[in-house]
Amino acid sequence: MLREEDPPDDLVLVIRACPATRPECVADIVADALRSGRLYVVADPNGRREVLFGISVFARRPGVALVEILARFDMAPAYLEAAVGSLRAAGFGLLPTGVNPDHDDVQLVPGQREEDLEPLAAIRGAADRLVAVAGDLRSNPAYAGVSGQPSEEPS
Amino acid sequence: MTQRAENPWLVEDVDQELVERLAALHTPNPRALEMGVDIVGDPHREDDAGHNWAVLSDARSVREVVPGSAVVLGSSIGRYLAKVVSWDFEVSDEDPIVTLELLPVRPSEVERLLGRNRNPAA
Repeated sequence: MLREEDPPDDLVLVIRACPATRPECVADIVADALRSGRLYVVADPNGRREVLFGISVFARRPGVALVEILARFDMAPAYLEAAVGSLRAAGFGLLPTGVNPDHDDVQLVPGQREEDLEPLAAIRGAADRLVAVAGDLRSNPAYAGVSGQPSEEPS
Repeated sequence: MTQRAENPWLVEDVDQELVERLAALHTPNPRALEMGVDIVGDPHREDDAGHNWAVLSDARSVREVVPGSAVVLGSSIGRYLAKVVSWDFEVSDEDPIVTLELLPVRPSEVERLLGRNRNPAA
């Protein structure tokens, strides 16, 4: 289900709550996009079906505390965020999916048909680019640690 | 299948025959075994209804993730308690989407809570 809205360029999105390292974060994104692509399709702007190699991201609206968005991910030491405009400038499509008005999917590899081979290399490349666009891993302010212990610093 | 929601693919209550058929086809998910969890997933995922989801092949055992079950979901960023809401067969008859509601309490909190509320010794 696509909502009829167009997220503004200056809206910040929480891309991902992550393990402590970038490679782990990229691996998670690849795995999630692959799983999505094996199950979901969406209609492209011309109404043609394309595979959704999507990852769920969450809007960080003005006035909403970051810790509120990340509370659900309080076992993750790090997170990534990026503005909608940065993602678009890097070529990523943003799809407002589902009933949650703060939930969107970032389409990692657009234009793939259901009969196409799974574009694993392209997905890996897109996950790398996405993490690069988001910049450094940031410390998760909601992080409670495993068993409440202090964490390693994100790398 | 004894009860269906509006979406005919969405099964909220399964009969034992279906569970046994799928269990016979199932191979325990290696990551679920390794992590010691009922099902492996990603807590970020949201479906159209706002539920988290995985697929049945991500589970350790079919019988432990039937709709209505409480499960532990394992991910790269920790374990989550979840309730299985439904199985969705739209994409596959043999590997349905497992729709989950993540519960806002950590497994470690539950362990602690149960630990301090044991029945007094007889």
